[in-house]
Amino acid sequence: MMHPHVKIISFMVVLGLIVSGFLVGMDLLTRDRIERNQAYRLQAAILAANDYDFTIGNFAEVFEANIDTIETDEITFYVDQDSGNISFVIEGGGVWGPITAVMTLEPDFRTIVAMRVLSQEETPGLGGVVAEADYLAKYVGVILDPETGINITHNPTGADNEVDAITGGTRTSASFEWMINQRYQTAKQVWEDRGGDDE
Amino acid sequence: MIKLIRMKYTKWYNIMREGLSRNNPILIAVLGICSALAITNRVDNAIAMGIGVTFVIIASSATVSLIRQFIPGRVRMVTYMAIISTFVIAVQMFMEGFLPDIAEELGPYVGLIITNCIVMGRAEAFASKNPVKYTVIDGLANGLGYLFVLVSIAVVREALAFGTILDMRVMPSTWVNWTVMAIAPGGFFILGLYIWIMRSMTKNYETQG
Repeated sequence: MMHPHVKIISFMVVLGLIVSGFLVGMDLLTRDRIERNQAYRLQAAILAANDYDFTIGNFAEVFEANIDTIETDEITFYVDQDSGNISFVIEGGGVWGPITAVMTLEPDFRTIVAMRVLSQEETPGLGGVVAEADYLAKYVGVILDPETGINITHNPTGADNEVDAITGGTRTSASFEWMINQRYQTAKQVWEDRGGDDE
Repeated sequence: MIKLIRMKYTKWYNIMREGLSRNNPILIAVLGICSALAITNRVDNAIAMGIGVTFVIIASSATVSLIRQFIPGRVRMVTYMAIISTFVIAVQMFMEGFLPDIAEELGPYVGLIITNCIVMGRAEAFASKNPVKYTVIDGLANGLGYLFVLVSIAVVREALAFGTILDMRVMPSTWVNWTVMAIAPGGFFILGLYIWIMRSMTKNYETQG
């Protein structure tokens, strides 16, 4: 008869080996798909901003063929070879959790071509509107002010850098405005320091 | 007809009824309501979460039942935890790999199935004492009981909060969305109503007379 303590320890060791073996197997099965899905979120947002046709099957090739990736210490730029549009990731804290988005600018580095939210955890129906295509369409054509950036406001005056704030999502709007401006200033600085898009 | 009457006395029928109504994990036992409040503002999330939880209950209960003779009494809780979390991580990997949009919507709640009291509760109360075949039925009944409640809450909440059910418009275009239904307090209201109705129907009261 095995000593009860030895029995407990050997049981836990065997259990640990079996469950970790199972999880390693699951990881092998799903790892590639999960990596591809994560890459898809970002690359699909950039391709769509630049009006490319693609599917989940070929997005990586389309991206590779048309978009230049310029990595710097602080920020990674994704430049469309045809139009020269520049995309980069903006991120920051929302009301409930982090918000990440991709902003695409014209080569003047001021006019917004597209804005896409990749992930957010805001209140559905209130702040969560920030991720909806109808709302984000309002950012197209907005011209960022080189000094103050974007102005997300409930009381627009008609200036070029204004976007309507989300009804019932004032704090999300404020967070979103802050993160866009913060990231825009950093990106602009880095972009100008390296003298624009010349390799 | 005779068959139907006989069915009422079979063990699996009773296990099924316990999980779905008389001992419904959410409405009667009030277990697992964290996720029931958090993700029931849309029907598709409720369905995905319900299926995920059902799978985890069945798989972990069946595993616990299978090895119940070998589990040393003192470490049985640790054993349940290891088995449950393994299946939850597997579900999470599967969703991120094959259903990335739903995984994104459910956010941290898939991982939190680990702490869903229903799963642990069934392992301890049922699976550790019963053979695998009944454990599977019990897991299915409790999972479906959970799924059923989640979907019934979500149908009401999504309709009132967004005017839709499964993204199909059900409310007139003049409908003003009830924002409170989109956030957790809305879940409390609907869940409270359901618990009241269910307990009145099954005459399940905490105190006598």
